[in-house]
Amino acid sequence: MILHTVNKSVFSSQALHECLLAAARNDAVLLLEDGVYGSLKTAHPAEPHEVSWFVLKEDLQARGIDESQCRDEVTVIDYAGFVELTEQYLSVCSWF
Amino acid sequence: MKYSIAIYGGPYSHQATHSAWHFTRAVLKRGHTIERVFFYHDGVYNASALTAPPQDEQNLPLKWQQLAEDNDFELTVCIAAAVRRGILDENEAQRYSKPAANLEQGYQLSGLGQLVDAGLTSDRLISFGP
Amino acid sequence: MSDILIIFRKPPAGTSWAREAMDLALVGAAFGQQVSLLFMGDGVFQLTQNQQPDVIGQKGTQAMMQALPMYDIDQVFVHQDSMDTRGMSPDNLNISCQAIDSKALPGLLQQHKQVFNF
Repeated sequence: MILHTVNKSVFSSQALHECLLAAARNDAVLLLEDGVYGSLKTAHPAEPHEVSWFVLKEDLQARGIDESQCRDEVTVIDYAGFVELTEQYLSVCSWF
Repeated sequence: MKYSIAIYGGPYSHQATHSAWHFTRAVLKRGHTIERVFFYHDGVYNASALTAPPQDEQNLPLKWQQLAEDNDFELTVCIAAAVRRGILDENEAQRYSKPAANLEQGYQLSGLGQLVDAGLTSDRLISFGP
Repeated sequence: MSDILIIFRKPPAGTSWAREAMDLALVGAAFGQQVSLLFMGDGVFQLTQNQQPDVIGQKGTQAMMQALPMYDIDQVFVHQDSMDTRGMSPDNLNISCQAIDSKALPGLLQQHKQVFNF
């Protein structure tokens, strides 16, 4: 049970793609910083993956992205929620 | 739980340090403890005492210094990564015959082993990359 | 369960990541930790033979990579698809690696207590 964080835009970086290759189905992916662009409806991954998806609210707000623009399977959380995820998952792996 | 944080991004080039800062505060607010914040790669620039941002921008080196002091955790800077990038304490400045030291107070230079150690002794180690 | 997995995902010469990630691998091993390495994405380019970093004034990581056995780092994996995409073959790499396919990647991560990802 690993929490993966991705901080690069899916439109310019392989970070999310490589993360999904290495993520197990019961892992979680948290999109933060420029990684939040990967939560957009138009950024739907080519291959479906059973990971749980999260996106950091503060980084959406900073970039002028409304939660309604995010894919349905993505849960919006704040920094407190980020900490909660790190409690639930055994370790954290950062993709940058 | 005990947390440690690793920062690999420079303070005024990447969001990494800001994210780490917000995360660290949230960790403390949830009642956990921070053991160590470890600076590696360009993250070592956080430890420069010569950082002089405009007044309407945050002074990240000082914010870390204050948070570490208030919550009793270590700000550890990888010595090899730091010295290469011109971040020196008094000892290193003397060793390399440099005109001044510039390591901010509250930070300490130490080996990369302290990052490995953070992974071993903390319940969680969270990295923030550039 | 092994101690530390270090993932190498950046090409060798353009940034200091290859070197600083390899530094961490050697320090981890020197600390008595069981360290495994995984090269994937552009990180597989670190395994190219005949690199001449001195031409651009760099030290490169070749010497450190040759020293891996001395640090008892013998679990070195390379992602097969990443090599295929980049026209590389497991037969001509600069160190001996175990090829691993995409299906086995998640299991490799789960087998380690701590993953460092550069």
